[in-house]
Amino acid sequence: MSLASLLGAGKGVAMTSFFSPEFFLLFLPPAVLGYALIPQKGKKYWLLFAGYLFYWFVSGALILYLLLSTVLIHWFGIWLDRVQNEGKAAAAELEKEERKALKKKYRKKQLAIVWLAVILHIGILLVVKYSGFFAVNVNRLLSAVNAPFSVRIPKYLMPIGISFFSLQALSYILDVYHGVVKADGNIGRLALFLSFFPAIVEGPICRYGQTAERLWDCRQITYRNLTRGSQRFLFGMMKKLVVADRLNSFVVLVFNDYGNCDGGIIALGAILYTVQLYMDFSGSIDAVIGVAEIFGVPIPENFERPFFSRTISEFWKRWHVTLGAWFRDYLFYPVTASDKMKKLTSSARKKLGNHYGPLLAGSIALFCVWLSNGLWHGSDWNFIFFGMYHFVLILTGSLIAPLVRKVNAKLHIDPERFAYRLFQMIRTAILVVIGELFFRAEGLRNGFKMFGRMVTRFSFSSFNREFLEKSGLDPYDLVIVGITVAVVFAVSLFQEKRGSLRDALEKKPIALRWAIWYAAILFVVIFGAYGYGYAQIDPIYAQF
Amino acid sequence: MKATMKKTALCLGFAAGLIALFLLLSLLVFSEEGGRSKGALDPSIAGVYDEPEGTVDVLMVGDSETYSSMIPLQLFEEHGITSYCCATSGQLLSDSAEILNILFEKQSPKIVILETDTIFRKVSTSNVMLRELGGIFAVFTNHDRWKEIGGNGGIDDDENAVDTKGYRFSKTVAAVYGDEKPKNGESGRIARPNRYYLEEIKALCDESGATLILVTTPSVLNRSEWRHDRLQELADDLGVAYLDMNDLPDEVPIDWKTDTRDHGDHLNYSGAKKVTAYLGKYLSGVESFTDHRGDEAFAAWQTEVEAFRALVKSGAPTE
Repeated sequence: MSLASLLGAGKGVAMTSFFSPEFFLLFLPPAVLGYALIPQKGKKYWLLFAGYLFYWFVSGALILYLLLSTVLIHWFGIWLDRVQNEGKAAAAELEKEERKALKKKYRKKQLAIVWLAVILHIGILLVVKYSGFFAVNVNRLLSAVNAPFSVRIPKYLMPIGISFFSLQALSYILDVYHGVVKADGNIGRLALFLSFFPAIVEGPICRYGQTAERLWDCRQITYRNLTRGSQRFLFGMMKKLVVADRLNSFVVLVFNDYGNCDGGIIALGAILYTVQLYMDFSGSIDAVIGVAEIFGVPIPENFERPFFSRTISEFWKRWHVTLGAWFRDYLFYPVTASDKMKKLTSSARKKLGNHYGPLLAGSIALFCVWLSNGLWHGSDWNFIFFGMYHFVLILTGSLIAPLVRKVNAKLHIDPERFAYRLFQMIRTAILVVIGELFFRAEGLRNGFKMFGRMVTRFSFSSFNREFLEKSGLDPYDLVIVGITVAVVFAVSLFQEKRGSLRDALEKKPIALRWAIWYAAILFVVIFGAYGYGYAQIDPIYAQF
Repeated sequence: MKATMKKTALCLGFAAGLIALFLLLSLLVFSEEGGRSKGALDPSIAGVYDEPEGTVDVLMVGDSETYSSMIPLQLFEEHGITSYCCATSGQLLSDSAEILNILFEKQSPKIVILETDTIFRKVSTSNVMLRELGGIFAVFTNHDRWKEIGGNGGIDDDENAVDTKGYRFSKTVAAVYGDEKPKNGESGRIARPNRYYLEEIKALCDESGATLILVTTPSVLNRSEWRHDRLQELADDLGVAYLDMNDLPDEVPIDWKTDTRDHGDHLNYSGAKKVTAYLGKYLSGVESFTDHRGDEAFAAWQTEVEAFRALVKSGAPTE
């Protein structure tokens, strides 16, 4: 059997990773070349075809979910638009008082349509992602009360990226409702917005207003976009192949066999998992943004150097930015802006003052956000705990903020001093690592056991030759990981202080630029964890 | 037009430079000659490369099921057969093919045993593509050789370690739970990329004059009827023998209360002894081996057998 016949059969092609040769050698070049060669009018259809072909490769028949979501959300958008226009037309002929009542009536109608769209989309998510978790817990309860029966645990194949494209679809209908965008009568444009192939597996979660028009416009591929997009892709590849995939075996060993690990090794495992997750997810997002850049489509950033954050709240504004923004705009703000919450805030402000008063309603909204955030990541108690952990940290941060300010003032501590900022960054990073330990653990019980072991049996006595061999890492692996993390840190520091490194490099002589890019490519080729002895690791966030 | 031409020339120039760099690296640093050194092998089995040329009768490849159930030194002690267990944790068929490719340059085994658990480990098309790419630029297959600058992956050799010829010794007993069920589903198939590598392994063995045998070692967690059926079909297709030890309770009398180190997934030393005892008889039945016991050229093997006996007595695990 030859390679050609194997690929020709179209089976066993796993393209969930942007860094698999199937994607960047077999799929991407024809997609780019076809786009460049096809006349302007056909480019959008080519992109749409590429999106569906890509999704078919990664999800097979489950592409039906994507098609269903597209058709439904398009239909809801049109319906909502019609109701909005009817309302406007009818209101124009009425007096002020009557107009108000009519507007209210039509508002209710619109809200009903939006709710229907939300329920359908969230309903599909609930069924495929959470019904198993729900049934398991119902059975636990039934067993606790010695019930003579149990419910069947359903099993559904979950389409890759459903959590991402469902949120994109909902953001569209909510934006139409709020009048941020107009309902799109062109189902092709909406379909391209939802199926643009770089962003469908791991996001970022784009808004209709950010990408839809630009995608449908289809700019010509330029030399600058091609080179800059490739550079961004390469940077992501370095993060994923050199660091994230290399650390995988160590992380798997610690989290699967923590019973045989000392607390120090568990702590190291949690730190390395946090590094792996960041390099994996941000590396994949670099690839997404890079590929989109080649097609001339600006995609929103999803990471803003999160480990420079001084508080957990700031961390979540820099990590998975588009998810945080989604929850902020479509959950936090609507909850805090609801009539009941406004009343609560107003009465609480009188009793508790200007700082703590608004916090009451804010904390209820925050609770909803973090419960949803935890559940969005997965259907298990450790994900719910992960959400609640961050809710408590952020709320506590807000509650003690006035006290911290007072203490700092009394002790004459300048919060802007480097040492204090560094302390805050390290403290935030430690809290993040603890959260990730529970996030990665195989269930909440194991998470607590690991945390307990880390705290009560902190030592590195089992970190020896045998352990290293078993973990699949050797000292050289650790050196390469260290060097690459240092490079990523240096680039992040540059971006934090001076802005885009690529912009700065663009001004350098061509010989220097080429030397840098050749060195970067060879670094990935030589030090990447791929090929013999390495298993291909699917992107971590693709499973969410 | 001129600007477009210039930019196209720049792109082509960059690509040409990159290809030249790949070629240079492939020829000068990561070449096939010397590239297929022990550094290309997992450190845990790198010792096989130090075996004198043409001295190994049997090579075993596979995943952890293999290195926990086949004891080369017992085969030597009982039958005078020299063998090496080239199994690694989570070994993929692409890895098995690469290991055999490397070792066939130095060894001409009569038998190659492929433990079948690895056949069901997913090999992606990426592996196949990288292998093809490696045929053009060796840097893509040998890139991990950068680790050779420090010997054994930066881990100092333990001079007192017993050379168990790839077997990982453990006396740990962790009995099968009462309700232990096989972990694999109701049915399944052998993936196409896996099939690609199986054919490659068969071709490699044919070229080298070795007989390929598929062996399923006893495991409560991995045994299943559908696996057995698929493997039998595969063996018939490839024209090789298939031995399923799960079906031989009399010949390989595994006691799942005492012979497993991890509740039925892997065997411990007690279980491995039984598997190896039967394997020795089976191999002697399918091939005539020269008995190397007492042969001066194989005196080192006898020394290792004695060291292994001491190790068994002390009970210190090698994993």
